[in-house]
Amino acid sequence: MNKLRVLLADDHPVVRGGLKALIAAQPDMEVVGEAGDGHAAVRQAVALRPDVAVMDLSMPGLDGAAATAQIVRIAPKVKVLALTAHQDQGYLQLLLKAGAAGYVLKQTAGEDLIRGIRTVAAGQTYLDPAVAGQLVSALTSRPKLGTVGTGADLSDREGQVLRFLAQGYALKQIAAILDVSARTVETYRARAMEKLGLRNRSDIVRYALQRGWLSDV
Amino acid sequence: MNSFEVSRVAGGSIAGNGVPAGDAADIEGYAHHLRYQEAFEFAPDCQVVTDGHGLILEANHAATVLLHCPKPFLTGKPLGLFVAKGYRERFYSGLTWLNRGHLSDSFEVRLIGRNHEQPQVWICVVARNWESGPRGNLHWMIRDVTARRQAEAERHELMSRLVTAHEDERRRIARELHDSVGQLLTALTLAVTTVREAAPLPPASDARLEEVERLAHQLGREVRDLAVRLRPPALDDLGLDAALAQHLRGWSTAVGIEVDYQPSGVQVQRLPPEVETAIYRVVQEALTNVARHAHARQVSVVVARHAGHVTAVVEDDGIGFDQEGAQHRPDGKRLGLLGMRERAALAGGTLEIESRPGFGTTVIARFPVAREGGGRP
Repeated sequence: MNKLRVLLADDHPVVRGGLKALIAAQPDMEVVGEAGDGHAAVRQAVALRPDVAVMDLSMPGLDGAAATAQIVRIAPKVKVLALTAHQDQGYLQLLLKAGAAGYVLKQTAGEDLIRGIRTVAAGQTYLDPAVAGQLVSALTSRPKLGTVGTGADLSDREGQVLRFLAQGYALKQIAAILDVSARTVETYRARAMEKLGLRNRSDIVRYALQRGWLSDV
Repeated sequence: MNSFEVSRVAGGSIAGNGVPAGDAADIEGYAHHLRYQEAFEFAPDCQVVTDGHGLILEANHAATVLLHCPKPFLTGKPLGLFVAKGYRERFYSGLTWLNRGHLSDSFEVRLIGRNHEQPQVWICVVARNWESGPRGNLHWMIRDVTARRQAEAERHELMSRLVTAHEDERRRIARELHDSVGQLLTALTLAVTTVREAAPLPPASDARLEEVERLAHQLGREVRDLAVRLRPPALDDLGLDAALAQHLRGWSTAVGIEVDYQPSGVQVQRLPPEVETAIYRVVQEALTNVARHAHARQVSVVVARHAGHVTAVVEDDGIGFDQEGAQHRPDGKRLGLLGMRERAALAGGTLEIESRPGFGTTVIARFPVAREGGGRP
């Protein structure tokens, strides 16, 4: 059986050395090239056509995400496995959008890395367990606006107060604009929220977005 | 002191210095005039008396110094003449306001002296004998606040440089931790895995090595957490929305309070870096307060961009507090509120806090930002 051909892209020589030793120790893998920055990674990926490119996110010059996007465009058969120190979902999204097939955290690299290389080489997606867990909980816990009233039974004042709140005005400011007391504004707010079934400020903004009161730029 | 008498005096009735030849009451009254005259003349602030149209009747020593004019030059001239261009509208709207029957006004403008200096002044004007309409006098107390305003501006400049330097330093250390320490730890982890995979080790050694690996992982996580606590790389790399979302998830898990985060208009377009940092830090501080004092079950966080401004709101459903009381408390809570206010002000923003016992607390930070040019990205 042919060995999996792996390209390493990381600007840190010590990390690259560690990666190389670990991968070389696998009977079914070999390191066919190394790159210390994003541009070199793209060149090597195009020239060597490895099965998998292990890509550090933060590299000088072209960063890992940009390099990934180029490799996926020029040599789509090369699977990119991103290797980063960032657990934030934002980075995960960035790399997945760029076309990475897998995402491994540097802190726990080791067996996960090897598993990741095998998984993406087989054409599947690999996410580090820590990141995958987060992603699942974020997707399932994303709050949504429940069924809310249409607003038809809101009084003019209640509607106005809701709009101002959605735009981030303070009670005092709303009170000054409408020429009523802050307590009165609070009463309008409470009534409007109860009529619509809104639980908190986030719900008010969601409702406002839904009604087109805010331009969601 | 009788104010009606004062304005009559200031109107020039004691310009002659003859001692009145009269009874004890007259002498008493004259002494009174003298005391008033001294208080008027040598007051540290400028004192000017005008008629209802703003024509100068009397000015004290401080006024002649501030405007670089001798008294005879000032007398009979409209006070508005000595208000710098660009500020006259405010001055005359004050005069109009008083002529409509109001008794006082105060505002800040720049004056212009004969030496062309433009001191910034705070003016407090009070109407005298106003019951009879514009035939009464206006008493103007004019305080030179140029030095104070300048000191404030310098302080603001200094503070904002300090905050920028502070953030830069945190960013640098965070990156360093990430790049050098983090990378070495990665290399260490990789080396340990390589050793474990290379050859079957004696069970005892294998167990020890597993322990080493566990420690290296833990160390890696802690270095990473430390770097994020200093300054999340996401704030620079990905923007406010991604950095906040991450922080809120971590905070919620750590303190066990549910967070409901709703961004609007900040997910794609970046805000100016100093506004992003200020919002991140204000929200962070507000959440710290929630965890410490609020006994909240849930926190709602909204960051929304509107035409010309962006607002960040942190609303909790906790016990709230008495705002009047908190103003006078020298403890950490008050300092926390001050810190947030300062932070917002340094990025050109304002901060409102709404709270009362039993009704939770809401922190609202508002920053001006340029309207978006062009279309959507």
